[in-house]
Amino acid sequence: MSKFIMHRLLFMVVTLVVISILSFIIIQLPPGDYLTSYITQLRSMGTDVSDEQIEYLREQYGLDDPIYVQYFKWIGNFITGDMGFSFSWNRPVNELVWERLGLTLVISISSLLFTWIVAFPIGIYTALRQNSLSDYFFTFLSFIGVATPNFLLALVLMYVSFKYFGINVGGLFSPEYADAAWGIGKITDLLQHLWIPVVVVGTAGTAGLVRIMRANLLDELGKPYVTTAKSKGIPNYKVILKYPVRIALNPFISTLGWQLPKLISGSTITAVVLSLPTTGPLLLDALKSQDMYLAGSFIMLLSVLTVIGTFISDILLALVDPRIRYV
Amino acid sequence: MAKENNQNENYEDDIYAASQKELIWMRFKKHKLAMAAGIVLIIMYALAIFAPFFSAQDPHQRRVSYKEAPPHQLHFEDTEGNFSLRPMIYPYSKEIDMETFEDIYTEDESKPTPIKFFVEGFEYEVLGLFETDIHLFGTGDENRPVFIFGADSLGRDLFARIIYGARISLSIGLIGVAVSLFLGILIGGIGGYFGGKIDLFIQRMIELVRSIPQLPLWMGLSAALPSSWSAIQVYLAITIILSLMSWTSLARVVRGRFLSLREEEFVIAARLMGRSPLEIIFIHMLPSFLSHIIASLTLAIPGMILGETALSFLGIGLQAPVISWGVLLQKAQNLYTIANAPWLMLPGLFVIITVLAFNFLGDGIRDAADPYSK
Amino acid sequence: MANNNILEVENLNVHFHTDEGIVRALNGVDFKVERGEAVGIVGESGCGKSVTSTSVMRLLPGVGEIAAGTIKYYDKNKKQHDIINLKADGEHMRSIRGPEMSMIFQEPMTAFSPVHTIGNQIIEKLLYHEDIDKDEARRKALELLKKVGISKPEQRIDEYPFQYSGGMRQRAMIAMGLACEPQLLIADEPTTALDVTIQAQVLKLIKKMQADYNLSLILITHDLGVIAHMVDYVNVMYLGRVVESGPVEEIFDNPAHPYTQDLLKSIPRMTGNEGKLASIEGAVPDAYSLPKGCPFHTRCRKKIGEVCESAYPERQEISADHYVNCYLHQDLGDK
Repeated sequence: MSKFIMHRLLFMVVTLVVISILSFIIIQLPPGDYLTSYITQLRSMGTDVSDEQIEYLREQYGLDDPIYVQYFKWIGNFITGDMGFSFSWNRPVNELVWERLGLTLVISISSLLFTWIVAFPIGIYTALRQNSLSDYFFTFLSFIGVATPNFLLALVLMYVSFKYFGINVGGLFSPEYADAAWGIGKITDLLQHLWIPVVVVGTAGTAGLVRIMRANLLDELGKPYVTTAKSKGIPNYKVILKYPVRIALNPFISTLGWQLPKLISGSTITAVVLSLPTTGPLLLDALKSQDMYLAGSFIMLLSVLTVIGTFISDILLALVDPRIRYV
Repeated sequence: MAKENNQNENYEDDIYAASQKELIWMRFKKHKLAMAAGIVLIIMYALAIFAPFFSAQDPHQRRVSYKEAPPHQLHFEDTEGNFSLRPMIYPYSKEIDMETFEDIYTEDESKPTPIKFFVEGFEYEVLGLFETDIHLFGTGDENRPVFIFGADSLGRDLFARIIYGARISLSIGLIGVAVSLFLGILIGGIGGYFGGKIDLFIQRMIELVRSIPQLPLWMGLSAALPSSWSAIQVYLAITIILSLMSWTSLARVVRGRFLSLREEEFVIAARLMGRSPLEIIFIHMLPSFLSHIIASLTLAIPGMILGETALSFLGIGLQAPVISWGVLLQKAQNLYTIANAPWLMLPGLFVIITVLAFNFLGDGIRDAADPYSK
Repeated sequence: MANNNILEVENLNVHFHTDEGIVRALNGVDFKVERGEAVGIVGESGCGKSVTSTSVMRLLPGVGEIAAGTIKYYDKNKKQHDIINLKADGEHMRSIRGPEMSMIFQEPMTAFSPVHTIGNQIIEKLLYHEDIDKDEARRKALELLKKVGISKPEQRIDEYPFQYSGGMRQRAMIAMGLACEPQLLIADEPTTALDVTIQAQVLKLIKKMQADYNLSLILITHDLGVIAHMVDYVNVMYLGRVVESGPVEEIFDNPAHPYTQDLLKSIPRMTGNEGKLASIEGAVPDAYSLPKGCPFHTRCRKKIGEVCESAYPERQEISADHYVNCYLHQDLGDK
C-alpha cells in the first residue's frame, strides 16, 4: 500500500511540474513582457515611472535573464508564497488569490457532495426499476443535464427566480454581509446563496454519474456473487446494498479524479455569470487585461487543487477496492 | 407457438446472412432515439450549410427601429376574422414608455403582411457556386422584416444569426474532433501497440493531461492569442486549443483496444504471416474497432461545441463580427437583458438540442457496434 | 406412511420470458430426495439441471417464472413447506434458504464477492441466521475452514478470494455452504471449473462432509464419471424433463432410455475396445421450439416411429425404483 502511495505521490509531483511549465508558458505568451505594458499603462494614466524603478522591477522578476532562469525564479517565488504582482489591481497576487480560493473550494466541494447525494440514490433506483416510467424520466433528465452548458443553466435559473420569485440571486452574499466579518449570520447568508451555484455546477456531474452508476449496477446485478449472497438467505435489499452497490461505488471514487477538474472549470464559468467572488471572474478579468502573473498563478493554483484531488481519489479508490492495492 | 417459430426463423436467417456493416445498421435502427437524433443533426447541418436560404433577413443588417424586438406572432386570422392558411405578421410600431424609458412594441394591425415562400430577399452565394436571392420564407418587403425569433440589441434577425452561427459552432466540433482523432490514434496507438514501458509512459501522459482543469487552461491559451489575428486564424487556433485536451478519451479507447487486440489470434496470425506492423495496425486491427472510434468521436463533439460556446460567451473565444452560438449568448449575460429580451437565450436551446442529439447518436452507434452487448 | 423424504418435486414447469420468446426450460420435472440420500441430476448443457436447483432455492432471475408444479420441502423438524407458494424474498423462504438448504456453485472465482474477505462472507451467513455474536461467528467460521481442509485458517479468513487458488476457493465455498448446518446441500457442477487433480479432492471432501454433517445431497453434473462414486440415485434429464431415474447401479448396468445408453457409451474408456469415440448424433433442438412428443426423437437411434412424435411417453416403472419415459418400455409395467 505504501508503495502505491509513493508511486502516486511521485506522479503528482511530475504532473505539477508539467503544469507549472504550462502556466509559465501562458504567462509568457502575450507579446512583449508585461513590464512594458505595465509601464505603458502607468504612463497613460499620468504616473511616471523612474528608470530606477524599472531596473528594480526588471531584476525582481528577472526579465533580462534567459527564459529558464525566469521560470525558476518564478517557481521559486511561487512555492514560497510570492506569486507575483497584479498590475491591474496593484496588489500582490497572494492577497487576491487566498480570498477567492477558499470560496472556490467551498463551491467545488459542495457541488461534489451534491452530486454524490443526488446521483447515488437515483442511480440505484433506476437500475433496480429498469425500463419503468421513472427510469425513463430520470434518464431523460440526466441527458438534458449533461447537454446543458453550465452558464446557460445559471442564466435560466437567474431568470426564473427573478421573474417568478423576484429574488436577485447573483453573488454569494447579500450586500449587508459582503464585507462583514465571518460569523453565524454571514455563514447562513452564504448558505442561502450557495445553493444556486452548487445546483448549477453539480447538475452536469450528477447526470453523468447517474448514468454510470446505473450502468455499473445493472452489470453487477447479473453477476454470480449476487446469487450466492441470496442463496445464504439474506434479504434482497441487504444483498444489493452490501455487494453490487458496493462494487458499483467504485466509479464514484475513481471518477473523483476527473470530476474535480470539471467542477473547478464549471464553477469558474458559473461564477462569472452569477458574479460570485471566487477565482473564476478574477481569472477572466486577468486574462482580458493581460495581467498574466495573476492569470498564470490562478491557473497553476487551480491545477494544483485538481491534482491533489486526483491524488486523494486514487488513495480512496485503493482503500475501497482491494484488488488495486495488491496488484 | 407457430407464429413464434416463423418470426424466429426469419430473424435468425437475416442475422446469419448479414455482413458486419449490415449487422451494425440493423442494430442501430432498433435504437429509435439514435435514429431520431441522427435526423435532427441532419436538419441542423442542412440549416447551417444552406443558412442564407433559410434566413428571411440578412443577419448582419441592423435596424434601429427593431432593437430587441420580440418575436413576431404568426396570425392565421385577420382582424375581420377571415381565416387563411398562409400565416401573416403585423409589423411593429415602436413607442417609448415615458416612465421607464423602455421600448414598447405593438403590432400595427393596419398593415397585415403575409408570409410568402420562395420569396426574393437579400442576395447571397450558394456554396460559392452561384448567386441567387431566393429564400425559403419572408415577406418580400425590405421594410417589413419578419423576426420569428425576435431581434437582438442592434435590431438584427436572431433566427438568421442563429443559423449562421450554426456554421461556426457545428464545424468547430467536426474539425476539432478530426485533430483529436489524429492525436488520439497516434498516441493511443503507440501505447497500445508497443506495450511495456512505452505504454506506461503514454498512460501517465494521458492521466496528466486529464487532470488539468480544462476551462482555465483553455481560457489562458485563448486569451493569449494576439488580438491582431484574423477571424480565421482565431477560429483555427481555438479549434486546436479545444482539441488539445479532448484527445485523451479517444486515446484511451484506442490504447485499450490495441492492448487487447495484440493478443488476439488473428493479429498473431497476421504477424506470423509476415505482415509489417503498419499493415497489421491499419488492415487488421483498426477495422475491428472502427465503429468504436466513430462512437467515441461522436461523443467527443459535444465537448467541443460546449467549449467553444463557453469561451466565446466569456469573450475570450470568437468575437463579433464572427457569429457563433457562444458569441450570440454573450449578449445574454446579465439579468437586465434576460428579463427584457428572454428570446436572446434561444441560441442556448440550439446548443442543448445539438449536444443531446450527438450524445444520443453516439450512444446508439456505440451500442450497435459492440458485438458483446445484448 | 412415514415420509422419509426431504424434498419432493412434482411436475415442475419453469418458463423464461425473453425478448425472443418464451423458453420452456422445465417441462414437468419429477424427482425426490430422501433424508441422508445423495441424488444426482445428469444431462447435457441446456437440459435444465441448473434451473431445477435454482427453482428449488427460489433463486430464479426476474425473467424466470414457475409456471406449474409443486415443490415440497420437509425441514429438520419434518415440517412440510410448500416452496412454490412462498415469496422468493420473503422471510419464510429465507429461513429455509441458508439454514436448511444451501448451494455451492460452479465458478468459485465469480461466485464470491471480490471486495469482501472470505471470512466476511462466511460470517455474514452465520450472523444472519444464528443468534451469536461476532466472536462466536468468527470462531465457527475458522472451524469450518479447518474442516474443509484449508491450511492456516487464521490467516486465510481475512484474505480476499483473488488470493486463494481455484481449489481452495471451492473449499471455501463448501465451508460457506455448510455454515448453519443445513439439511440439504445442492452442488451445481462443483468441479467443472477445476483441474482434474483438484476435482477428485473436492469430490472426496463433499462426500466426507455429507457423512460428517449427515446431509442430503443433490449433485448436478454433465459428467457421468463423477456421478458414479458420489450418489445413490440418478435422474437423467433431457430438454427440461427427467427421462430416466433409478439407483446408480441400475442406471449404469441397465440403462433403459436410449439417451442414457448413448451418454454411457460416450464416456471415453481407457481399457477395452479401441475405435472411434462414440457420440450422440445431432444437436440439442432449439429451446424456443421444442419438438412434439418425446423430445429425444430427433436424435434417437432406437426411434420406433410416429408414436414417438405423438405425445410425451408416460412414466413407467421397469424395476425397483427404476423409472423411464420411453415408448420402448411402454409394454412393460402394469398393463
